[in-house]
Amino acid sequence: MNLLEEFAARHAHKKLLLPEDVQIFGAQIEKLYSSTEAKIGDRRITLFGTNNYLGLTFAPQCLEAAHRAIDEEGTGTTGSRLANGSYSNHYLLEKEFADFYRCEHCIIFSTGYQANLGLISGLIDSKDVILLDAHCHASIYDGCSMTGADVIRFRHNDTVNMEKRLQRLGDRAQSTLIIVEGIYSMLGDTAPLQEIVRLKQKYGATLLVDEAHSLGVLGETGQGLVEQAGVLDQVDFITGTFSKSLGNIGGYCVSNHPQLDMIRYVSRPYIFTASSSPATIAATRAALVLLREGQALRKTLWQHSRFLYSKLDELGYTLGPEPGPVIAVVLDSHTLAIDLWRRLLDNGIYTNLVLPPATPDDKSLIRCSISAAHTTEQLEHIADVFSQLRKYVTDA
Amino acid sequence: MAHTYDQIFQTLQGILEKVSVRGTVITPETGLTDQLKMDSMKVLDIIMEIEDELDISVPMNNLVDVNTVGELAQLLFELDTSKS
Repeated sequence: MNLLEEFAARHAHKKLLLPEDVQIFGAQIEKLYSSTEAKIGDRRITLFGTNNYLGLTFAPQCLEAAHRAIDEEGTGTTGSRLANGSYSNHYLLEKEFADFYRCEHCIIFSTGYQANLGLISGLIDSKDVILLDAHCHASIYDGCSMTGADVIRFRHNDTVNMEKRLQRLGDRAQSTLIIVEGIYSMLGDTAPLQEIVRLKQKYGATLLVDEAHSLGVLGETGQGLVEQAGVLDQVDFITGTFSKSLGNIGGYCVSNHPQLDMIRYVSRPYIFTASSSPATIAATRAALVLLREGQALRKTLWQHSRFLYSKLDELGYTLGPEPGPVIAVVLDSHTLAIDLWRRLLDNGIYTNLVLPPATPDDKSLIRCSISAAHTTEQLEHIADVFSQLRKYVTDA
Repeated sequence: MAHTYDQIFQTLQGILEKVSVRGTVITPETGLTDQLKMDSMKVLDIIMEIEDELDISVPMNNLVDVNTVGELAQLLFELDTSKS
C-alpha cells in the first residue's frame, strides 16, 4: 500500500465513523452575534463549546485596542521575532505577564500549542526525563516527542503512581521535568498541585504547570491553580494560552529561572514562526487587565458552572469528577455521543464532541464549556435540553 | 527479582486478552494496532498497567519500533532485567 492508498484507507475509516450530512468537526460559523451566540447553517445557536470562559472576545476595551493597533502598526509582523525584531508591545505584554505572576521572566509565543512545544523542546534534551500526567494535552506530548528524552506517563492525578516513577528514576529524578495541568481540558478536573509540589521538592525535580484552562478561572486574581493552591513561588515554569480566558490567540511561559531567556535562541517553535500580530498583542494586553480585575466575572463563571454541573448530575449523566467551566458528559459509545451531539445542535446548542483516542479511557465526551457571558436563559435552556434527552441516552 | 521473558509474555497476554474481543488468540506475532485494533493511547494505557505489575517504567520513546506483542514483551523483559 503506497502513501496515498494508506491515506485513502484512513479516509474510508473516517466515513464509516462519522456521518456526512452534518459537519461535526469544524462546524462552519456563518456569523457571530455575541461571545455566546452564532449563526450555524441557517439557525441561531447558543455556543457551549468555545472555551471563552470570561466572554471577553467582544469586550469593548479589547476591540478598541485591536482597532488602534491595526491603524498604527498594520495587520501583521511578517516574520519571526528573532529575525524581524519585536514590536514594543510584544515586550510590554511579556513584562505585564511577568508582573502578573510576580516572576522575573516571560516569553510569549504565537500560539498556546507553541508555548508548550517551545518551552519543552528548548529546555529538555535527550539525557533528561519527562514525567507527565497521562491526561496532558497533545501540545505537551508533541513537545516531549521533540526532545529525545525518556518520556514516562503516570496515572492521571495519581500522586502515589507518580512517586513510584520518581523512586524508580533514582538520581535521574533530579534531571526530570514533571508536567501537569491546572484544569485538564477533557474532564475539567484539577491537579492535586500541593502534593505534586511536595514530591517535586522531595526528589529534586523541576515542575511545569500548564494553566491553559485555568488562567482567569482559578485564584483570586486569575493566575490559575498555582494561585488557588498557594504554590506559585514553588513552581518552576508556568505555560498558558491567550485563546481561552483572554479571548485571543497566543501563548506564554513565565518563570523565575534566568534560563528561560535562552529559549529565545534555542527553541525552534519560537524562532521559526511569525510573531503575533499587533492587533492580537494589543487586545491581549487589554484582556489581561480585565482578567486581573475580573473577580466578578470569575464569580459569575463559577455560579454558571456549578448550576449546569449540578443539573446534569441530578439528571444522572456521568460527568467529569468535579464542577468547573469544563463539564464533560462521559459516554461509552461513540455512536451515541455523535447522536447526542446532533440532537443538542438540533435544539440550538453547540458543544464539543470528543472521540477516542483524543479522550481518556476510550470514552466519548460531550464537552460543554461555560462562560461568564452566558445568560440565565441560555443555561436553563441547555439544562432543559439535556433533561429532554435523558431518556434517549438511557434507552440507547 | 527479574522476570523471565515467558513470565512477562504471559502477564502481557493476560492483560491483552481482557481488553480484546472475546476469543482473540494472543501470540508473539499479534500486531498491537493492526490486529488488536488498539490506538496509540490504548497501548500507552496498557503499558501503564504492566509498569505497575512489573515495577518498571517504560519510556514512550522506547516504543517507536514496537509493533507486535512479542516486541513489546521483549522490551519489557530488557527493562525488567536492567533494573536488577
